[in-house]
Amino acid sequence: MSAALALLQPALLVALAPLFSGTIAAIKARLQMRRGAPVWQRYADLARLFRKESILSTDASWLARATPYVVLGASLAVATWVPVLLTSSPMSFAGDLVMTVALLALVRVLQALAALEAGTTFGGMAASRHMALAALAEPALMLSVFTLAIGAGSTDLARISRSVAAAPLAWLSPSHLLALAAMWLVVLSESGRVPVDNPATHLELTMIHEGMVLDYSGRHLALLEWAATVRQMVLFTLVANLFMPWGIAFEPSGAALGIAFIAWTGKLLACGVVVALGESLTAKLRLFRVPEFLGMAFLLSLLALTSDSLLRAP
Amino acid sequence: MTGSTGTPPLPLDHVLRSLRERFADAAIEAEPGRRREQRVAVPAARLSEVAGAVRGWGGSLITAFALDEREPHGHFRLRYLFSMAQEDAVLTLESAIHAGDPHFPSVTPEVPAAHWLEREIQDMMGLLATGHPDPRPLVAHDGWPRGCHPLRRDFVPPGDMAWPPRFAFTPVEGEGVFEIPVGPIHAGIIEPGHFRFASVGESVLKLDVRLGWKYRGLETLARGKRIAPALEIAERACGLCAFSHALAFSGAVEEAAGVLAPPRARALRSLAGELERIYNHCGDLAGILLDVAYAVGAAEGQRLKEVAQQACDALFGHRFLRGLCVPGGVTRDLDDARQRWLRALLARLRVDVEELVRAATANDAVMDRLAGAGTLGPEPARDLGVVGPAARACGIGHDVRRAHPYAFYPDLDFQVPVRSAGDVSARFSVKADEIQESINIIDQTLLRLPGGPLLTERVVPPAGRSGLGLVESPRGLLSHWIRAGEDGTIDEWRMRSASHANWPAVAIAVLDNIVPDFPLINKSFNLCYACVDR
Repeated sequence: MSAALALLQPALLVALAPLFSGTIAAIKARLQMRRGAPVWQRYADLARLFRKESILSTDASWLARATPYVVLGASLAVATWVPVLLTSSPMSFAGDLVMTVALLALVRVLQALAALEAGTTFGGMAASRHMALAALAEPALMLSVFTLAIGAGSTDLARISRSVAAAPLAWLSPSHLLALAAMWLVVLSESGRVPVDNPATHLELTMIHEGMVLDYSGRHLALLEWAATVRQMVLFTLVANLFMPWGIAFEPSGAALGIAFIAWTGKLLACGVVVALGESLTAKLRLFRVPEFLGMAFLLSLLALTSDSLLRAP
Repeated sequence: MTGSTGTPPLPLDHVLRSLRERFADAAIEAEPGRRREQRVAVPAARLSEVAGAVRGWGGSLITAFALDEREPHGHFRLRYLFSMAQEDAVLTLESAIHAGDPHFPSVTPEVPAAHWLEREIQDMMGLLATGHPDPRPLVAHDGWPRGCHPLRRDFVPPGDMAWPPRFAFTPVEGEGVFEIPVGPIHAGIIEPGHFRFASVGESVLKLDVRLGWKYRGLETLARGKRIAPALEIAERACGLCAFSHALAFSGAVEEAAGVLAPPRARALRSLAGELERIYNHCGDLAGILLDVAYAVGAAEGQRLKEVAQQACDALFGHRFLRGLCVPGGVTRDLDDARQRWLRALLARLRVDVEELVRAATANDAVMDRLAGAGTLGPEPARDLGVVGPAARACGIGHDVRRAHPYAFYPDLDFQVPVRSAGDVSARFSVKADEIQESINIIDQTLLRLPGGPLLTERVVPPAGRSGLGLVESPRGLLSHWIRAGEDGTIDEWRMRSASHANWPAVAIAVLDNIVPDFPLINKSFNLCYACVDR
């Protein structure tokens, strides 16, 4: 049973990640009064890319070839210990909050290095922007989840989720809400969404995430794109199941898992609607305003941590 | 309301008198042309000085080109056309350049607006502009054989195109300076243009714009063609301003032939020209909003552009209004039912555009991106001879519809929106206001649509006569100049678009901005590549 669950949760994350990405795009299209592509468009895109030839620059080393696999591998690894349906993960031994942040950092560094491989301008430009922003986003991500980890007395993601779910009104505390706000800003930045990056742009000079994968094609590009959707899915699942773990199953019973699945997809859909609404109603920030945006995330998470320690009964 | 420097612009007669007084030794009056075009012959050596004086007296450069008159006169002829603002007059400075010594003193130091034009004369006609501050080739790309000048009359397309490069980007050196080459092939479906940024971090130090990647030799192609096929070539110079091109070309042919289109045709020309402006400006608003990732506004702007283009199709049979304007009039009429339909459609469009602009300007995130980005000051704009909405966004209220009224505009009452900030937000506002004003113009035209025929009888300009057509295209001043050949053919044709005048200004507007803001700044000008790569 636990082996099956250990497989089921990451399998759900990985299999549904392109659907989640496609759903956000579909909602955005609706908000713009367009019909838009169907929600499963991302699967078709991936299938098309996998069939295509992959071309690498003659200047590229083994690093460019290895990066897509390592990036997807790291993203899959994170997906194994993220609580999706159940508050006790059989894979908890493999990694926790710190490991999650570390693997996300590994992905970032590898992608930035690989972007330099082809020796083109846009890769280097995007990599430098990406690293500059990552340096600000990463501490905010750690601090906001640490706020919850302190409450749970553990950095294990499943245990954090259980401790928040066990105290029904805990989410009303100021520290929790501040941490959620910080986390939301970081997730937007990390998954390359407006107002930090524009996933739909064709303008090379403005690109961040797209710029780093500009020189990839075919199979390699498919792996990177898929990994990016998995990471986006993982981050939104963290928002849904650490900060709002309503409906998550405490025990691996069929009924509880069913409810947990419905609750999880419902929360993700709600997140998708909020993201799409936000992207439709606001504009992208000027690049030099982004550090202010991430600085705000860091400040919020710092406030969350401080208020948590102040308000906690001795 | 002029495009000139501080001194009040003087009418043509005054300028001619001043020319005769100050340059008695240099300026020889050529045979008087029609009232609109006064030609003054100047020896090449004094050209720069006289051009500078004319500019000081309120002339603004429309275009400059060279003609190959080695057969039978044994010289090339340079022409600099100045608009004498405030009066519907054009002053042309002419200079003969001896064929044996193809050099001429550049007027660019005195009239910076001639910058690209003189570089083009070097490439196209093989005349060297001595003293030009930047004499690099403009259109002649790597692989152009030396001595290959497409506008010379003895030009034969060369078979061998493998010649060494002659163009070098200006190197920028210093600690932490990077060069960023962008294009000519882009990630999106955009026309080819190469942009070479020199930047420190994200800040732009210098931008070199290089166009001409798909130079088509249209002006060479049209030589010797009959008027109808030449019109087709002129109309296809550009997609988005196809009607303006057809109108300016027709205007030039009509002037050379000494005919005037009938009143109803003139009214329909104004109407179609404003429709073209509306769909262009709607597309520009959408483009600006898309580049700041304001998706809802961009989608609405694109919808409005589509509505306007479908109206063009429904009324005149072509989304880009091709085939509508011909020398002597227009080919299609607008019956009462269509007029009512258009009026209702424009009433809805007016409200929709107002709402779009209100939503965008009320959005702080959007306005934060637009305000202060890509500021172009009035001084560089005047020096470079910037035209159209780009000029009107930095306080230069010049408009061909006012300065050199054509079509139905003398009979119409309309405003010319002007802003002074010179940034992306000012260009956005000018274009938004111009859409409303264009709808006003169409409403007025429909109310006062004259009756009568659509076409005059045959329009055949006598051989050797020339004509100039000036039109306010959606991007600004567009000029077509023709000289008629035998039997209703086009002997020489020269065209200069608003984009050609405005491209150098983009490189100025982007200075001290950050690299990722360039696409937005570029989009706020939304200049055409095809109009330049003619």
